[in-house]
Amino acid sequence: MKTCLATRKLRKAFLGDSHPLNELVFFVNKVLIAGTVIGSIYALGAIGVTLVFGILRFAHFAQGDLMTVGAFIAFLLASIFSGAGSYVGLPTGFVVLPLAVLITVALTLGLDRLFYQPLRLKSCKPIILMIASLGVTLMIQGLVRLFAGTSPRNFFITEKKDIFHLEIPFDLATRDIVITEPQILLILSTVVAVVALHRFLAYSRLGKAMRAMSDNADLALVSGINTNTVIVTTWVISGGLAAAGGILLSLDVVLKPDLSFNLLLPIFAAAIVGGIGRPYGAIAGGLLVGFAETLAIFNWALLLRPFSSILPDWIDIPMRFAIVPTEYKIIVPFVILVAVLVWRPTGIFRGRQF
Amino acid sequence: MPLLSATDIHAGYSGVNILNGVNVEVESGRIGVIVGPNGAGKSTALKCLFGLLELAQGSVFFKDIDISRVSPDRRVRMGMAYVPQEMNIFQTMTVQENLEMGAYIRRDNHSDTLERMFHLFPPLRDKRREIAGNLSGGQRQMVAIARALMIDPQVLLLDEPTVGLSPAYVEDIIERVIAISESGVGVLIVEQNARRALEIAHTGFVLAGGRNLYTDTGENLLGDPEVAQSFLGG
Repeated sequence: MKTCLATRKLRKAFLGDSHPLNELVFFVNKVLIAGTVIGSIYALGAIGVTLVFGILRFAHFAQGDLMTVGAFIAFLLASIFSGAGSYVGLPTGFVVLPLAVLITVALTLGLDRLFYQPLRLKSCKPIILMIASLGVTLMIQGLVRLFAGTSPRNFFITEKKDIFHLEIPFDLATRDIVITEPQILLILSTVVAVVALHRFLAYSRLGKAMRAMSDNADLALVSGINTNTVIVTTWVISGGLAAAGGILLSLDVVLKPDLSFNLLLPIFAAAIVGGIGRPYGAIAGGLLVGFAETLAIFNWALLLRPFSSILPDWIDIPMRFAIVPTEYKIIVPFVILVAVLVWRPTGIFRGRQF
Repeated sequence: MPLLSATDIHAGYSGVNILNGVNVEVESGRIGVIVGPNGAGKSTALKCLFGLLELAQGSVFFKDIDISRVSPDRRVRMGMAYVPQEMNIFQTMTVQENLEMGAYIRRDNHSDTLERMFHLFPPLRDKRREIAGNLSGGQRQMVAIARALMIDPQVLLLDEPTVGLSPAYVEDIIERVIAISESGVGVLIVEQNARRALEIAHTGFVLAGGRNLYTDTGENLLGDPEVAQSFLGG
């Protein structure tokens, strides 16, 4: 084993990283893992957007801010109960997640009671509710900055972020697959949340009532379905998933007050790509937008370089060859959004048309 | 007192009156049919009976209780069922899920009612796992009626159940309506196909201009030369 490692190091010293297998591992790290991570976050946000649209018929722009609020509440709880994670061997930010999600859900229901319900009772048009949600967005962003400041915060100041290096069982590979503990928790939590949501919507009485109301609200009323219960459930799910997504994302990177601003466009793109009102579409849409983003900013020159010997001379592989520079990655969801609205307004899963 | 009755109801949309004094009623196990020209207020009258539209005047009684101000979802719990003319199924859900949603207010085991529905509408049994929106027009109408019947209602309100269906399906639906009323349910139907509907009606209500023009047994209305000339195409 020791000799093996020594040979690997030696080989690396002489040959560098430029073995096709290494480039492939690099691709796995930069695209497969990064895409799954960001795609999961987008999916968690987009499910909320699509459920709220399906039931309440308006585009809820404050969905991204529920993610920020959730993350800040978790940060607050993590600093109150600092060290709580070391008892169970998980990051403190993750241990307080359920509590932070509950608090965010309560706040979400409060927002509905204060701002959206009065408008609903006056049977306002969806556009009025949408504008109201824009106001709520600005209000939450102001409040977050007022109480938490504008500087980015890191969940891992006192704790160590576990990073796993998975060795590739080939001699020639010198690069490892790298994944952090928060990333593993994030992917696992998303899978659990999505499976739980699926079971709820497919088999429970209330879940079916939610689908029924999203499908045909008038007929749901005529069937005696209590629309208020369905609305509360919708907020509980969308607020809870948004909070979980925000917390998991800020555990992976850092917590910034402008988190929601960067998430809003991708999650709306994801919801629309998946077909608005379709929870499964939102999951697919989230992953699609996430992967599109990571593929667009990936440095493709690295994958082309191993083939430089067989490529004709006149093809010069540049050092960096990405479809979109990293700083401009926000244009990826934007392009997807516009393209879908132009060519397939109902989304890939045939949701509602605008 | 009849099972369900509306007396002198006035109603309309945003100030424009559509109903100017309509009287309709139905007994258990009987079929009442509302006919009349377009814009006579037939569908509006049915909506008023189910509480989907506020009454400006008049009242609705169900089982001797004044339900004029009772919300539609509470009327469902009292035993009233309503099938709208359009958008009357959950298109994205399976046939069985549609029926389950019809039974949403029931906390008891409703598998026997489900079985009865498959007996009443045999084509639905094979299609129970299919998405309701993919069915043919006639089968969709069966899903719509079966959904409403899942609460074992005492009264069933049907808004133009045969509109847009092929003649074979029209006959099919009409036969089912007769079977439903024979099982003891009071059925009130709004129908375009006036002649065929009056043939099965115990009582017919001819509306025009938002009020009753004629109210009589179906047979008498069909035999009345005046009614025949004005509303049944001679």
